[in-house]
Amino acid sequence: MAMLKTILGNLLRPSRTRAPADMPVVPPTYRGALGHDASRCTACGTCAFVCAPKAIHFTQDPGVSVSWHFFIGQCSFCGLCEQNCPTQAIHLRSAVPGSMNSAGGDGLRLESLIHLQPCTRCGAAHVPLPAATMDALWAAGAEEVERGYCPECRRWAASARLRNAFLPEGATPAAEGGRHDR
Amino acid sequence: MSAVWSYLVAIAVWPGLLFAAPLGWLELWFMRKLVARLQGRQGPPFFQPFFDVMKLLGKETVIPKGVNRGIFLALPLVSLAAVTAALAIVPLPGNPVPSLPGDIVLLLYLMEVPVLCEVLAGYVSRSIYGQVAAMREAILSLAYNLPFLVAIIAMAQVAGSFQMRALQEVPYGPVHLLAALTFLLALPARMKLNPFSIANAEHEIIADSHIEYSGPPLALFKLSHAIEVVLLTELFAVVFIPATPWPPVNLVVYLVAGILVLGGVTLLATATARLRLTQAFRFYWIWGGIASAITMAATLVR
Amino acid sequence: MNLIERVIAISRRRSPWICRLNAGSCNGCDIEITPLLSPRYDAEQLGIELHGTPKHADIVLISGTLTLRSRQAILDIYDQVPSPKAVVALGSCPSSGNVFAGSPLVLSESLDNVVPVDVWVPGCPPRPQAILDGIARAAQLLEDGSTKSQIQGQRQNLGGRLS
Repeated sequence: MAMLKTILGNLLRPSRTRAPADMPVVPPTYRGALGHDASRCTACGTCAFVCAPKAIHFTQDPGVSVSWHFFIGQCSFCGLCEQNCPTQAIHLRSAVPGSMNSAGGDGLRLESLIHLQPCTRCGAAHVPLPAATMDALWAAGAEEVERGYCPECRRWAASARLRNAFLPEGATPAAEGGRHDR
Repeated sequence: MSAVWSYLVAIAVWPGLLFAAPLGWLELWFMRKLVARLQGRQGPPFFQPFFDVMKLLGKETVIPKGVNRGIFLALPLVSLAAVTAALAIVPLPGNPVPSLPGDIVLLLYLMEVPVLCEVLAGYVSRSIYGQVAAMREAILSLAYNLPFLVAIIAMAQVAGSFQMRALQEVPYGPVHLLAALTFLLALPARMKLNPFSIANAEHEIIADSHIEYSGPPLALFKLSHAIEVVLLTELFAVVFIPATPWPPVNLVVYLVAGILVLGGVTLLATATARLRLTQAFRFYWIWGGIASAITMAATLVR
Repeated sequence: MNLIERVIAISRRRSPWICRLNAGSCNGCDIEITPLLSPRYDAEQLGIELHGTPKHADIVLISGTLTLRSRQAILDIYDQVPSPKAVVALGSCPSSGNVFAGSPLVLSESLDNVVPVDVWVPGCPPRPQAILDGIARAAQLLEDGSTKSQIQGQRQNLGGRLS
């Protein structure tokens, strides 16, 4: 009898069905489609290292670019890459990835190109730091010239600054031109 | 109009294939929609049973290895033909077929043919699930036929004749009511609906006895089931609903009564879970038996 | 295309019957199919019916990592589905093996190398609406006659006529 009451109640109420175009919204914390922000990525490779099913990998075009590759068909949407990304370049968006007709090919694969930049000091191609990081490091713009340095040159500049701090007043600073090995 | 033509018209047009198929689809849609609404769902679109059959007609037929092709393909045809012929006998208003003495016997026989076809279809397919379904169908038919046959035979007893028209002319009395209840008792099992959906237990033994059927033969089985639903509801209406002197009014009353019966049966199907074969068998032989005995006694007391 | 063919083509989109095949899945994708039958998603509004036997199905939903043993079963069941038919791959596992790739008992290859797949539904597991969308897309392909098996069949017919 309780069942009869339930089903007759259902009959009197409108149906709870949602039309295909009006599906329930996904919770904001849902780990759906993976997004990559090439301008924040430093190509450190942490995401490829922590990815359990090996859905992420990097390829290089030496001197020109580094590519971040992601194969949705191998992802288990665990979110480890997002957690471990030091520059927050990877975000798991709540949007549900749509179904696709193409086979393991184009639709299921994402590629994000990170362009290398030549170092303003030594000319070596390198992955630039994210703009936000650079703003945090060189906020005042005092040493604006260091912005375009490659990691090696940044290291050289930092040590040169350190050395100059020890020099007495009026002494000549360290000679410009000490090149790092490549 | 010669007798042959009237039979052809009755089988092919009214109340046969041409009208019964859309009516059957309408009734099937009504049942599915009602089940969905009772479960709080949206339910299928109006043309769904039609689309199902049309799609199956356009599909390939896969015949399993080691199966007798002739019997395999003939069974759905025989089933459909028997159901349509049975419907042609039912004296719906405007039915051109003349009433024959003893046509109730013919009707009851023809109504058993689809059941027989289902049983054979299960065994012919050589599928173990199909054989289980066929065995269940065969045993269940021994159970539900007791109240079903008694309901009709009691009416024939009251009328004193095995003729459909005579049945309709019987003055309305308590036997009508008792026999109708007995008939309704057997109806869910005849339609293979829920408490007695033992032979077509869709997730328990995968599918019903046409598990190995595909394409047009399956479409014919579906069509035969649709017409069987029409046959059962209209038979109930014709035999147990008192007729008015105006045939068009009768027709409307019969169709409405058929829909109401389906609604009740569907409500029962949605509210209950599937019984085991032994439980169903016991139910029909105890309660169906008691109902049959009371109905038969009422015909004698009168 | 004459009228009857047109009606049949529309019926293929309006009544896709599905059959589910677990090729070694963790059951996640299979669990996500059941909400399709619930009041919220109600697959029946699109005419979708879940059938147990491949003989009644139009669309096969294949979920799970392909294992050495399931390969033959997939081929058998795919052959039993009467054409026209479509295959929908659920989740990440059929396309690559996901986290199980490289295990000795797992075929670490795409399902496309076993049977022609028409629609891929990404997710681990995919959400019910994604599965519903994938089935609707496969049904649309069936209507257009552009599933891989249909195209292959047409090609064979053409080849037979030409040679």
